Amino acid sequence: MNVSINQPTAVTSPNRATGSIAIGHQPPGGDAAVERFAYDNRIVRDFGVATIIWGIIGMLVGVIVASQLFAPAANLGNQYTTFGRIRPLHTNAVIFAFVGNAIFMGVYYSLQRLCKARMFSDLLSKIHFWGWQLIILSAVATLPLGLTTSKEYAELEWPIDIAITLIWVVFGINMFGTIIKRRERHLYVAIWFYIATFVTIAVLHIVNSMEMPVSFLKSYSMYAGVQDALVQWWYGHNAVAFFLTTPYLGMMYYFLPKMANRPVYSYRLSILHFWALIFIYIWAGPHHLLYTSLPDWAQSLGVVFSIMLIAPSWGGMINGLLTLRGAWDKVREDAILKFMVVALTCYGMATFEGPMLSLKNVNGIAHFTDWIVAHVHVGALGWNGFMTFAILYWLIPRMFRTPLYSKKLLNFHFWIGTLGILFYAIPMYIAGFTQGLMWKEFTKESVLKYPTFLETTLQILPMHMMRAIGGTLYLLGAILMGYNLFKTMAAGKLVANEEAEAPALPKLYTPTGGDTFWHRALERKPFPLLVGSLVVILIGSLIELIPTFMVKSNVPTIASVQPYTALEVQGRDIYIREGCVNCHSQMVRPFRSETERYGEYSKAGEFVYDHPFLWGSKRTGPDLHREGGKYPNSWHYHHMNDPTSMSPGSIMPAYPWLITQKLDISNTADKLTALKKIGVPYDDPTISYANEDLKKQAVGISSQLATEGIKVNSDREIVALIAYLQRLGTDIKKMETIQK
Amino acid sequence: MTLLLTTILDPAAEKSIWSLTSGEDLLWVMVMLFVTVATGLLLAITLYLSYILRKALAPEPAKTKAADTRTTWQRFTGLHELSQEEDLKMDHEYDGIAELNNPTPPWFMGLFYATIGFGVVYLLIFHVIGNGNIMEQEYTQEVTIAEKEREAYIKLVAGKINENTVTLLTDKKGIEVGQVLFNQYCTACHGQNAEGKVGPNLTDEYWLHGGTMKAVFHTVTEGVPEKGMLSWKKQLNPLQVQQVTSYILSLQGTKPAGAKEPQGDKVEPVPATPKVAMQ
Repeated sequence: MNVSINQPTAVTSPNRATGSIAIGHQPPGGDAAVERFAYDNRIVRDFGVATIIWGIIGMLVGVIVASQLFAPAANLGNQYTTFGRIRPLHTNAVIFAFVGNAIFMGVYYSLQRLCKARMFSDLLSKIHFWGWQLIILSAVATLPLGLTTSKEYAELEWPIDIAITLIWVVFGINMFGTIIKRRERHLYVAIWFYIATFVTIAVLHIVNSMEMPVSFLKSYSMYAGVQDALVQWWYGHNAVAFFLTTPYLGMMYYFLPKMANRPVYSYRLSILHFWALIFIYIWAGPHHLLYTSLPDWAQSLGVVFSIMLIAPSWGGMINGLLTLRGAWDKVREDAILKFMVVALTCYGMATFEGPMLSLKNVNGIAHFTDWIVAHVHVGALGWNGFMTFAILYWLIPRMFRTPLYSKKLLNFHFWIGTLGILFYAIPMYIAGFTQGLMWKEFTKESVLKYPTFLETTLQILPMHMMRAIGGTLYLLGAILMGYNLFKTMAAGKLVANEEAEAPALPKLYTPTGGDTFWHRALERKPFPLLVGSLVVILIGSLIELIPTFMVKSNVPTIASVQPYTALEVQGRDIYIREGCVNCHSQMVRPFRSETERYGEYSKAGEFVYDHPFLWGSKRTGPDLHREGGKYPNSWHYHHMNDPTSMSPGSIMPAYPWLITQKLDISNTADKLTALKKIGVPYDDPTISYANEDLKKQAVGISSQLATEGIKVNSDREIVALIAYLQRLGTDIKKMETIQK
Repeated sequence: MTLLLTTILDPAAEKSIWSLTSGEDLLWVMVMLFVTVATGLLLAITLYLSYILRKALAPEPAKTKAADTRTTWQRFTGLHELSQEEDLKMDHEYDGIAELNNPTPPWFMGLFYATIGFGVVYLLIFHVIGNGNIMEQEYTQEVTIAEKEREAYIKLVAGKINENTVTLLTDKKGIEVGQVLFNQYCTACHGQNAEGKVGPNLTDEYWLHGGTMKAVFHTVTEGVPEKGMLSWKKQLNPLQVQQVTSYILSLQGTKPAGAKEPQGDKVEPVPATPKVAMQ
């Protein structure tokens, strides 16, 4: 499989230094065979260029999305660029395109050097690179079209999910191939983090992406309601852990000592925080579901494991910052190190804030508000963004054997980027805190002080404008970096194959002394290390997931809860297509303020037919779980056509295309069949007469609208959407009537 | 905190002080724990200081000890002098990166153990001592307290107002408050000037559910769910319903632009009975 350009050639080096010989290397005086080979820099360059380009695109989409939150007209009146559809594009572009490519860039550069070996296969590297870019392109093509599973950070439809799995396996083979043919006995801490990343992301992605396909680009999540939510946030939280954190910690452990030319502060600390981090992180997902219908015990696990995460995640920050001990004079001079210091500080802040947000009383205020948006952006802009910038600025001049084009621009980028983060984060904290408290405030008359949700939204619009300015500053910095780095590349010449040499690793090896410790032993055995990481992450996952699936009492059933009708299923799919879940939650929490505002709080048994769950994670508009029957059909019609007509000042975009577009009913029966396969009890007549039932219900709604003077054909999308909205949260009311 | 205090102060309360039911209570318990620990530390420091003082006054002959020369601060932070770094270097390098054999900083380990302790205590309180129904309990408690407050308030300000006793307000202040409430809650369906939108026009003489003070008061309070009119009794107290109803009836015959066609039956305009609003 080895298709390296430079095949290793064994030569005997007569002048091998006989000074300090590290463990595992040939003893001096022996016939140490030094092998010559070359590191593949081309693939690192490719991933680097992709990082820059996708980073700028992702951030640009972010600025557009942010603008729509105070000027809905920024969607250009176009369904393909409306908030609900391109907000996932922004998150996916930043997480998987910008950060993803940066991870591969960092891994491909450092892994080769830490293993003293070229990547296992140039062909696999190329397949990995182009495969990943194609996946990103397919996301860019499908998300604006409304082809989405609606599960956060896993919105891509099933064929793309399969492609991601395949490319991930390619990456894994390439990585393990390189590790196996290494010329270094022990695996450096960075590689442990890479291995844990690989194995955990594989598990998370596969489990979370279990879907039942309806057609080539439509599927339903295999899980329903509470289970779907738990799996989703087990995935979502650990995507942060194992995509945005562990690979970056690995990269930090390689690039920071290199940049500062300092030894790593503590080997022992790195062992402790590595194992503690991967073990504890995997349990903490339920803190995204506090005060929801998730059983109390699962929520409590989420709380306590999030608190226990402080020390393990800070371990990485401390080890990084203390590595800079004795090099702080360099930090003053060197903007690249400044980027690293801010990155580590942001990491420390975000990983302190995370556990605090997991305390239920804090979460009760912060959840569903901009506070969470601020929190994730401190992580993304600071930790991931700034470290990526530092690595790019450090790598590219080295691989192109030329000094950076402009140091002034580099400094300017650092300051404008930092300013951008501050302008972004501070207003969002204020906005989140303000809105969270406004939602909860009662007057002395014991009524909600701000009963209209919209009032609280209008209050924070100035903060949204500041946020967009902060985002623009940050984007500007990234564009300047792109210019600076492309100029640098143009000035130099890529050393595509960087010459290197190292003695071959002898097969026979007898560990001695401190080398026999159990952790030391793991460090020379990549596969046991892989299995060890897998076991450690599976313990937490299984304890959380299995009981929720197996124990019936976790999801008490409610007799009056029935499956959606065919028309409602179609309406729900339009709701999913338009990304309504990005702004509206469907989860009334057991708070007095929420039951007063929305109605009875949501029960686990109400969601048993919800594939996927649509609880949402951020409220830009009010909760919709008790929307059914609250307003007449005509209210919804007007509200979709022109939201400001029903809610003056609303920042919801208009959805006129729902009124003109015809509902596609060619797949109604297929949809019901697919849902039946995953446990929704539709009987055969319901499926075979699906479209007849659908039309009957649609005619009912459109004739009802006609009595209120609204002429709309029964075959339009708006009718299906109204049917779904009017059904929301009403089943439980039937139960009350029965009991009465 | 309220619960904690009331249960301590009021022995008749059913709940034991050990059954914490909210995160806030837990927080206070933790704060108390911290205060206790801090007090203990303070005591220890005082004793230590007095010990040092005594030693300084009556110096003992110095003992020889193979000592760790680091200061207490250095020990707490787990740091060594940079000059000792060479001794700490491990015999291994990865692509030129050396590692030091520094211990994990003691404060860091302290933090780690403390958070684990927190986790154990949390689970014990809510799932071993408590019955595990955290959310339900918190909610019931929150709503019970709120209901009591609400009842007390209504008794105080609007106790006498109900469907049968309600009267039309004609004072300027009452109508103005009614207008604010109308703009806040009713315009979405009835229009900015009550001209009617999804809901009917409220300025003409035609009414779907009656146009007398009593009837409008009833409609606002109870709603007409089958027609999309919400019940407002949870958001508005009777005094407020009286105000908003009075405002609505004061709009009779204003003929706003874009008025919706009449719906329902004709009702004679309400005579403006001059009556002083309640205090």
